[in-house]
Amino acid sequence: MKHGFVIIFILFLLVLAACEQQEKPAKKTKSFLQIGEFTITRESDSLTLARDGAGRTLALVPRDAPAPEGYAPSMIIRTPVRRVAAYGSFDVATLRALGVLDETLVAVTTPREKWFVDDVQRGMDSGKIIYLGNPGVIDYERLKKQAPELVLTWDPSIIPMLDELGIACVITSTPVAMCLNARMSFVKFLAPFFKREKEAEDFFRRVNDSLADIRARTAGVLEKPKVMWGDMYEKRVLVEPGNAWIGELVVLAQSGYLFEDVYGTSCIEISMERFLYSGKDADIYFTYRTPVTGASSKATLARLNPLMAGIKPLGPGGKVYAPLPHYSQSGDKLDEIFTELSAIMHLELYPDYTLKYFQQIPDIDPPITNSGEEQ
Amino acid sequence: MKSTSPFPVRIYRFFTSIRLAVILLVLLAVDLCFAYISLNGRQSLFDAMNRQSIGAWISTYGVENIQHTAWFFTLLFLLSVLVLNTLVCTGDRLWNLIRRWRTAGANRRVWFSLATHIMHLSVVVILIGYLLSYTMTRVSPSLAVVPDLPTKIAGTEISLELLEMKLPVYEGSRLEPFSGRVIQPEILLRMTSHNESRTAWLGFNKPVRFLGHTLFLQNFSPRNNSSMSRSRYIVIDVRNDPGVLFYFAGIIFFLAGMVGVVFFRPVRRCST
Repeated sequence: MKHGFVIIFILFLLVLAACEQQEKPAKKTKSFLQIGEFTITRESDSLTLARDGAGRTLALVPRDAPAPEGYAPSMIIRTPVRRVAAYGSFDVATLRALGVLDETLVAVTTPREKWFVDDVQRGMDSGKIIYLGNPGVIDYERLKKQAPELVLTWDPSIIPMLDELGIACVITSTPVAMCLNARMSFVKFLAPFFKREKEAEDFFRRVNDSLADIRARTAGVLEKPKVMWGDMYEKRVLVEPGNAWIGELVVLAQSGYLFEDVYGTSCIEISMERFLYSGKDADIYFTYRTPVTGASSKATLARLNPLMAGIKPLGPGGKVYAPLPHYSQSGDKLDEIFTELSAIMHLELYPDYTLKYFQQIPDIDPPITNSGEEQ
Repeated sequence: MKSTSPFPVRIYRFFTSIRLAVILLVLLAVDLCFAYISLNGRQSLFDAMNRQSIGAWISTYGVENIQHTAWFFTLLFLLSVLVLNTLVCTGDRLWNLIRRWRTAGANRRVWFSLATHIMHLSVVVILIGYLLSYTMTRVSPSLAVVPDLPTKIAGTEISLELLEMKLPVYEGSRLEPFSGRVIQPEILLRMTSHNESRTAWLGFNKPVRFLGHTLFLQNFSPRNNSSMSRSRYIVIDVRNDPGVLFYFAGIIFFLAGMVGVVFFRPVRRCST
């Protein structure tokens, strides 16, 4: 009798575990969306709760609805939001993906000359979008003058001052790196702030289609290149961990990610020995540096860090790729970025592909002519 | 032979069974094996439980990720049955003990039995404490506090001031990766509410209590000498947890019971 009870219990657990294999129902009565560390809970037509990257719960309320009880004024956000200040370029790109950048963005923390997004350049030229100063020390007077209703930031230290100014704030970074699904779905997190759920769905579908294409193209490839993504700096070695979207994408594209066992935040610090050890096996190396910040050639990289010269991609025939300056501001083109990464890993599957976001760096810097231009 | 006892009596007997306790413990072990598999790489799913009530967690994360949280629901069920089993079983034996006490008086054996029952009941008190924590705790997560700007805890009159940050960096040579990093921050906080005020040092594993609220250090900056961000701030979680008193009471009773068991344990005489 008792043995029978134990067997029934174990069977019960197995049945529950098997639920993993089944697809989830398309709709539920209570709407709850989990995007990595972010969540969106639709409580009613007049109240949606958004949990940001720091775990704070914000109440999204339509402009004409009464304020919910139990929330500090700075935690209540009236939707659709009309004026936004954004720290990160990915946040700005997400606004663009939602189609609200032109009408809502009023302040950024990157100077005009470092922007490659034409909408932002135009906005800054016309004075609609202003530069708030270095993200570490923004000018609160200028921020107050712009009167944003919402600030998208990665810096929690500004929250107390924003509370004083009565400006709501969303932390868009997380302690753990965004996985592939979170990176693609982040647009769905910001969508309820602007009532642009449809645009978010369209964007997600487009990116998802690009992943399906990558899966189909790379299915059955025999050669799996080994990839590493990170950089050695003077005092630190930073890499993308295996749980980050980059690590997951590399694996999805039938390649091997050499830091797959590393878990944690994006740009996580690892030991120099580990970096060099993995580098001996790597076929493709992605550096964080752009050609402007030092990744102009393998020789330059080796000169910056002589120890790094020992990794395989920096040797003869090795492949090193550097992001182009506009790459970090192209989060609204995730589908193209994913496809390009797949093309880099499997050149044979993408004949005639032209790189748009990355550059394969040469062995040595091109010689400089008398006129001062590189040949 | 089929039992002829009334249904309530059968239920009562079922819950007084020590066999039931053993089976429950075995099932708990099996369930925790599933938990080990389910937890792997999914901390964030369960971390969320620390920031909201269990009811809210169940209706969102719990239900949406049933394939990874089934073990937890099973755990709740098994622990509830175990609590019931412990209460009924201990109550039954305690009743017999009191009767024995009244007839034969207190002797070493009676005290020993009482001590073991106190230990059992303490476990129940601790479990009730956890239940209260998960159902009734009010949390203000990720509250940023910066120097020179008092921060109010939402829903309270408590104001926090960051007075000083001691951020000693590791200067040893044995652990190279920790070189230049802050590994033991100490933060001097002033907590004020109406006429009451208190100043205390906050650190990791060194929470501070004030007017029923417990402040836990979650994050701080700068974290090391070469940190890209030089802003000085701390991020704390504030919890108003009514279960804490129950855990401590349970632990004290458990220790008292354990001392009783050691002190009054039956002495076996050696036969020569």
